Amino acid sequence: MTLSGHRRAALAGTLLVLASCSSVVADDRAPPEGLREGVAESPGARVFRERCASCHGRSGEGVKGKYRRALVGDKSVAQLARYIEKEMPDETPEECVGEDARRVARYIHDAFYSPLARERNRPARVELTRLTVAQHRNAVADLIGGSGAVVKMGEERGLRGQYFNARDPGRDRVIDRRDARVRFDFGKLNPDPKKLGKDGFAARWEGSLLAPETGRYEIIVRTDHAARLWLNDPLAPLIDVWVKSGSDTEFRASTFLLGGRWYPLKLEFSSRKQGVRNKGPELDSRSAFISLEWKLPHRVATTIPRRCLSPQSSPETFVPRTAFPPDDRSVGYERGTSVSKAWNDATTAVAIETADRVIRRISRLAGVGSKDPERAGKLRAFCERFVEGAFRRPLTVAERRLYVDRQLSSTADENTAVKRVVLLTLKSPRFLYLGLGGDRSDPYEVASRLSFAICDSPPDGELLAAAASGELSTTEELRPHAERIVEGPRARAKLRRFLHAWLDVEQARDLRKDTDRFPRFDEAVASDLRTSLDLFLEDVIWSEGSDFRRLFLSTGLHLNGRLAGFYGFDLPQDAGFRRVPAEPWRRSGVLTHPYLLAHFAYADASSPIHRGVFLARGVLGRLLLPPPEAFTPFAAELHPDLTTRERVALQTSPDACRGCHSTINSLGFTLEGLDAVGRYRTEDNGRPIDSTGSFEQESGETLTFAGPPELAVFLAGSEAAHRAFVLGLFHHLVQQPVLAYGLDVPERLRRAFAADRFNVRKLVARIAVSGALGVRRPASSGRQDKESRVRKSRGETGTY
Amino acid sequence: MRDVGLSAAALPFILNLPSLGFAQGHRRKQRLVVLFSPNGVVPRTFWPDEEGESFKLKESLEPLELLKDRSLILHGLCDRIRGDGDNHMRGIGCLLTGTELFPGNIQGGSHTPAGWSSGISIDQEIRGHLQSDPATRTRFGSLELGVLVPERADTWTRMSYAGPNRPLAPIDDPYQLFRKLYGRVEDRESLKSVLDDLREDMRKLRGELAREDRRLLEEHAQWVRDMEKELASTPDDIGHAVPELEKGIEEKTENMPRLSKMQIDLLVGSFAADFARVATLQYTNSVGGARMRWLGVDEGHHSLSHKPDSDGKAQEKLTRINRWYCEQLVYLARKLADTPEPGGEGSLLDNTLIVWTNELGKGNSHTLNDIPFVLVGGGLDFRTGRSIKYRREPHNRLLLSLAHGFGHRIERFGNPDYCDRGPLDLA
Repeated sequence: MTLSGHRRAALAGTLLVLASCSSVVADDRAPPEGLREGVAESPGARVFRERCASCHGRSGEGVKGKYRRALVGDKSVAQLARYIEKEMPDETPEECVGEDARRVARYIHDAFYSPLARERNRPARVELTRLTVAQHRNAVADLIGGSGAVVKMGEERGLRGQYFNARDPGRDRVIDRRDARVRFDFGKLNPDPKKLGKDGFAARWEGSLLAPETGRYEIIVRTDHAARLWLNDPLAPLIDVWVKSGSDTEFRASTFLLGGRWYPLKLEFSSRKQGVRNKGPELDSRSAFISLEWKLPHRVATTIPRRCLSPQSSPETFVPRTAFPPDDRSVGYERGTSVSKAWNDATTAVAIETADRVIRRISRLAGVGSKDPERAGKLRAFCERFVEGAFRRPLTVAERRLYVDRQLSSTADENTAVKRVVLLTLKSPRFLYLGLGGDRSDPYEVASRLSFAICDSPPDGELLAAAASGELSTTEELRPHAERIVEGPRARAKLRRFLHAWLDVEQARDLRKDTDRFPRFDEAVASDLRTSLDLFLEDVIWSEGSDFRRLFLSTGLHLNGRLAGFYGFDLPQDAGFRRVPAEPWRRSGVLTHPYLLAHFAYADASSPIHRGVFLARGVLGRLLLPPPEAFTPFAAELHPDLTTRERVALQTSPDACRGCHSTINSLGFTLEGLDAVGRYRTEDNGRPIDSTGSFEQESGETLTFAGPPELAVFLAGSEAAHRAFVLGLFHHLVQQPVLAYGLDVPERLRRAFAADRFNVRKLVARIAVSGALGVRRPASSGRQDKESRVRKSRGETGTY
Repeated sequence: MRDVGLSAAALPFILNLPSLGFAQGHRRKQRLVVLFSPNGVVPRTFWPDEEGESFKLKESLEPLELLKDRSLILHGLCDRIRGDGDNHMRGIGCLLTGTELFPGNIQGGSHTPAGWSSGISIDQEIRGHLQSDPATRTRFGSLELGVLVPERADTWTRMSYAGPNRPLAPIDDPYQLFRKLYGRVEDRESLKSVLDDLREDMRKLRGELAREDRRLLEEHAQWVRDMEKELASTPDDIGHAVPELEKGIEEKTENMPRLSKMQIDLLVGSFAADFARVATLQYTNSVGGARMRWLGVDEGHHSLSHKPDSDGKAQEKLTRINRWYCEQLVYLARKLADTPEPGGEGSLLDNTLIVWTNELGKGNSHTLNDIPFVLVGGGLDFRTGRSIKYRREPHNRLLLSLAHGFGHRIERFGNPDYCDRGPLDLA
């Protein structure tokens, strides 16, 4: 089931828009070919099969001795219908007229006749792609930072906290320790009254901050005294209230950060007076508080947690301010298969920003002083490194001549010359695209594909060194690199985005609920829930076994004091997030995580249909057609005696609905014991909850579940679920159609996944390696191959 | 029109005009520059003895001789704002804002600690007025410039405020200012210069690609061609040659004269290009301690300014220093006078008012009375060629006159207690 436009409007202001929505669809639209059993053949297809296929072939490809030519063209459905009505079948056109003609015309048109259908049916191949926005940003950032800038961050968390018996941080340090986070009320809790004077003191917190996701971060410093904060720029403070002025105590600034990277951070504080020394009495520092918070989009402000802070310093990262148009996601995953004016303009703007940055820091970047006698040579060497870094490979003679020599000799002005090198390089397709300037077996190309697949970033020094010594041609050679890169924070960020896509929660939506029914479910609870979900996912994926099955089977919830209060667990009100055991008969894994349950629900009631669609399509990879027409859910008020389950069953009882809803509903009903905010319940509308459900397997066998734990056990062991996860992950990482790499690739990967005890990190590495080593048969040769046509058709790829 | 109190926005309605064309065509551009130098003046060598049109310039103001008939010297205006902060802090922080500083943590040499100003400054108020009307809107609205302003954000280093607690940092690096003003033009030039090479390489790459993959690169090439056309058809909108800056001038006190000239040249260029109509140019900072060795003065300006009146040598040096600042004012005024008003009549100076001021009246007494205000130019139609002596008038009234000069007829500015009698009549 997909929500139609009408239905979506009815839901506006609540929460749900499914990933692959389509508008109202007429029942004659041709279903993608090769649908599995259980999906009815459309009437148009039946007519074609019965009356036309004998001469035109099953897919309109033509039949020798009958009608040889393929049925392709650019007539509209109406034109085709008129033609069929008058002329077809040959000699007996009266057999197919009116509604039949219209239906068969629609079917032919959409299945193989129209240019669009033909495009869809082309065999899958690895296409030329440009870097996606995420890849482009990382590539530019690494280029300026240099590969040497990638430092290994230790395991220690929190910040270094130093306290000074002085008005400015620096002199007279009396305490040097680790602080888990910055949230202090020194008025009540002087860090050490014996060492720090009553006239106030200064403090400095230093280290790095991890941005878990890419996006705009709002940083908030709350203090009643002087403070300043540097983030990712040691020269210009992001927040500067060293001059305390007036009574404001909350200071905000926002900055765009790339996910999966550490950024240098320094926060200073002073409760003493600034300005001229030793004049007048000190300020009243009986009250002195400071906290360092952040606010992510659609979340509430929270103290920056310990897990995102490190006492270790890190180099700054260049994050251009230019906004990009979003990448194409029409097939369900981001890919760089289109260019536009907006994209071209954005790449130009980034090139200019980068050139500006390079010029301003040229001394440091090129390691050259203004009066260095070898200045010219060092600048040239820098330019060569820059171009090489951008192209991710050594330069050919021709490339060096064009990108370095010609630019440097084009003008006497040093800055202008370097600027030209940077602009030309960052506008060059050799930087902007993957797979140009070398064939697919080129080790540098392999290195790039591997690294971009795992972490959306260009290859690091180690990988490039392996490429240089020709050690990247076999799976065995690539695996260790892949497994190393998978452990880095950027790989984490990319995998997290996939898990969000897999769970269909990529857009953190407004989870607002009916305030009468769920009075304490506020913005803060919704925001904490998303954090809780992320912590759960991290816990499973980054634990020792990284076992996919634990996503379903792991019991326990990550809760803080606020969530515990709401969901009826026992934690102090101000407790930070921790894993709390949940009753195993009520909850099991991610399916029963309250964020997901609230997400797949209406503002005032659960939605078995949304939950069922998520399970059938998202988790089990079932193909579901959009509903034949738009529906508004039955209003509860009009059926006061029914439970949600009964109301849904009633509405989807017509035959036209049952084909899909027999699957959808019986999966979704399993979660009825958890309400619209994911709280456990035993009654709905005054009647006991019925959370039994079932699922008909491809073998035809029907399994029944008494509730979430049984369903979870089934999903954890389901080959269909494994297959769906593998395919989705492949597309998310490699960003090319999987079948272009060989028809057996999905099954091979699924088996390997099982052999690896469903280790997700190993799967990432395997997928990246097979994507990097690439195609075993020429991509563009061969006739249309039925299976690839089938798989590539809109329905299936659209699932991921 | 201004005299009858009609705003530009009202014109089309009154005259039943369809657009603002009339207003644009007939209203001349008006501009304001505020020049700041620190530590007060030597009254004896600064203020003319006479009042009215016939007056004699003394040593500090002698360089102004050739521009005397375009100048207006206002004596007796006082910064009456009290509250937190020492006189140097209030001197600069209330100078253009006319209102108190917030309480805060910055301790001065005396008085209570203070923070930033609690109000907007007049240059920003006027900027807002001009930017709100499409007929007077410019790319930047205002430019905040400086010469050797210390790398320190505190009450003594900020004069302009975009609002309460919103100090504006002046740009004192001419190269940074240049990038701000002309970066786009430069970027366009650099881009144009690499496009031929880019297209050459794209053609080559296309030849190496499989047929199926060419489509994407061809489309890309099309966007590059479009960009080239756009670049070619966008005229350089600045209306004059990009100024050439002397290279490699470091921000050091001994370079102060060169930095001052560079900043003034860029400022006049920006006015000619109509990048902005309001500007401030802040030399050092309140309590600024520049050692002006090129004037034969080895002591820092601030400590010198504490010397008593009886120290003749010190007073003579202070006079030399203020005379040098006066020369900067004259350089700016002459440069404006030598630049014809683009698309208008007369020179830039005819349509610009320069206000040279200071945070104190006199260094060794730290008085906020008799704050120097030397006005040059015809931007606001003040009647120049005069020396005027007031009796302890609050300087808020002058700030009001500046706003009214732009047709921005506000009744109060800053602390309303000092606005009772409205703007000074300077016409």
